[in-house]
Amino acid sequence: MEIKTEKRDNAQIILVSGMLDASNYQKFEEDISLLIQGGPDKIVFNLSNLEYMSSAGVRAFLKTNRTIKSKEGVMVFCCLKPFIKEVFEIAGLDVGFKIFADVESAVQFLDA
Amino acid sequence: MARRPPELIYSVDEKPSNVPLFLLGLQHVFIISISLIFPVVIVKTIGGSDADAMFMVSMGMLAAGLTTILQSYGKHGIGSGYLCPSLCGPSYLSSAVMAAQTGGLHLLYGMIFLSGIAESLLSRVITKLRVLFPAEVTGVVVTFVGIAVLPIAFPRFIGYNAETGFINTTDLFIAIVTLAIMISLNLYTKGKIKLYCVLIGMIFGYLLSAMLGILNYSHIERILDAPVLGFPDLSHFGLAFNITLLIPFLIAMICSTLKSIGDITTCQRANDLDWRRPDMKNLSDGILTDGLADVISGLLGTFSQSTSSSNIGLSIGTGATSRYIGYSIGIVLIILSCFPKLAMLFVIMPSPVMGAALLYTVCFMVMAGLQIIMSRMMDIRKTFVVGLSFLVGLSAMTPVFYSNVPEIIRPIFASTLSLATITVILLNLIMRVGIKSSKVLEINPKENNTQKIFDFMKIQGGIWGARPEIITRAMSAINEAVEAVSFTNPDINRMDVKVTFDELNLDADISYKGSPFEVQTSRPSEKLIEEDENAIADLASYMLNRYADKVSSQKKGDLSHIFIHFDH
Repeated sequence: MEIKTEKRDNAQIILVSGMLDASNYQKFEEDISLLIQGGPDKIVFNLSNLEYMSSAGVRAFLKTNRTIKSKEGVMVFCCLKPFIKEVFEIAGLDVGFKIFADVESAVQFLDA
Repeated sequence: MARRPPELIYSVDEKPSNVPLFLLGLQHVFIISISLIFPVVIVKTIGGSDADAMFMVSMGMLAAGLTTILQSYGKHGIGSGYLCPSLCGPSYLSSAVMAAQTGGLHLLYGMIFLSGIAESLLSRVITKLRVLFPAEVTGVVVTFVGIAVLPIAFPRFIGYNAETGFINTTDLFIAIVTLAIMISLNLYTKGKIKLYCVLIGMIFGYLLSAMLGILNYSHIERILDAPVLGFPDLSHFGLAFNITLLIPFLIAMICSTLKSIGDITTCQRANDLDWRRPDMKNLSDGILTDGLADVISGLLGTFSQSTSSSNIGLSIGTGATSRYIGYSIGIVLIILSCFPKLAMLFVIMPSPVMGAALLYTVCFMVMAGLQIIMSRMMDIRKTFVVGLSFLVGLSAMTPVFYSNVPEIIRPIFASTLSLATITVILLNLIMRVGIKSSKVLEINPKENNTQKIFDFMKIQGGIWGARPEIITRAMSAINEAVEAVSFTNPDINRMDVKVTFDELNLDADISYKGSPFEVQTSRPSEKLIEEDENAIADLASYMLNRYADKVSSQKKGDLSHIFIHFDH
């Protein structure tokens, strides 16, 4: 699993690639925590390259959201592949989080 | 309950109003009438009379009409219930010529009658032979029913004269314009014009043919000379039999049956958005009716009738798959069989118009076959089964390769369809050697197993020819089960995942030495998941339950089991 970041306007775009599962969710949580420490409070998770996510990955995003909310920040998702969209629906993440079709729409929402 | 595809204008159970019903039926009748050249070819080959030819053509219309109605019926075990018109079936052409040359037309009728009985009996056991007809076999057959029409369609399209070896450019021009009109109307129009695109194209083809002299007064004379009303001449009826022709006709029957399986499968698929696999009971009823069609054909004294791939392609291409159109077709054909004057309108159809209409419909058949092949996961075995069948089947387009094949098996090599069909069935059986219906994957839960599970399931899915969406759900479910167990039993270092597959079921039995697995039917709250890491196991169990069709757990001795089932 790989993480790349990019700044756009006032938002931090975090591109998550590969698989997010029980073997790497803790490292993911730690890496994201370091990224957002003292950093931007508007996060877009670009999941266009995320091939698979298990329940452990769901937990990682929920915990990350808790951390961002504690700093009064906002996180949204974009570019979900069909399987990841299904995982979000099963896990109920599509109710609590904003999901966008592309990065631009997500950034526009955060800027508004 | 079948889900109606949105692109259909009239689906299988919808009845068009009277005028579209008649016109749509007429459109199909034009395509069916193209196959009436087969009886004419047979009669001319044996030097028969015009009366013989007209009789076979009239009885061909009557047989096609009756069996199209029966096929549309779809109740009490008769018919598939789909718009699956019948016409003179190409599978029997070479064996039919053989029979007519050996013992005259009565022998032909008798052997077709016998083939019909054989096919009717075969229909009763077809469900048990499912292993012979996986998606790649029926898909190859359906593709080749389109390809097999080429030797009839293409020479007519390009105006090829076999005697001179030259192309008639006038014919080619008419064919191109006719085909262009059909395609343009389908692509760029909606509603009724799109529905009748083939009929409109054919009418333009007739008019253009008349303008350019392909249709001339001699054709009009034939219509004028034909009697208004015609009833069968009883001297034409009769059945004869010859045991030496049994093998070629049985081979032709198998090809025809497989083609009909492909045709009816295509109808099932075209009328159900959620189609996953052939409905075997429905297939059995459809094949029984196909067999009865030959029994009727033999008794009436005409060429073998079979489900029409071209017409199915037409129904898909126009979005009108209503079974009521089948009744309309049947009634029109039965009436035409009594009116030689009207029937003559079809008999004089210009060759380029025939060629254009056939090429149009063949496109849909070829695509339907390819879609059936690709609806399942492929592996290297299936690559060879499909690839070699295509190559060997296409080799029949060069008949000189097989000119010295023994007469008794020559029908197999006489057409791309029969050769591809026999090849794909044999290759499928051969390639099944060594395929196990179940496989075990050993896992150490302390390692990263996601990729290992995914690779295992992808390989097995390809070997089994499973549906890709089921394999995706299965690998996700198995991974969630493994992750859940590793959270609740952190000390175990071995789990066995046994996966079993047949055409209807995919099952996983995950066993380990540890505490029993709890199946969660409700999703743990977000708060719980955030605060308690162990709640991941509950979430994994819940997600597993959502992916699978059935989940259960059991403790047997010191082994705990998780049973995961998927309907395939």
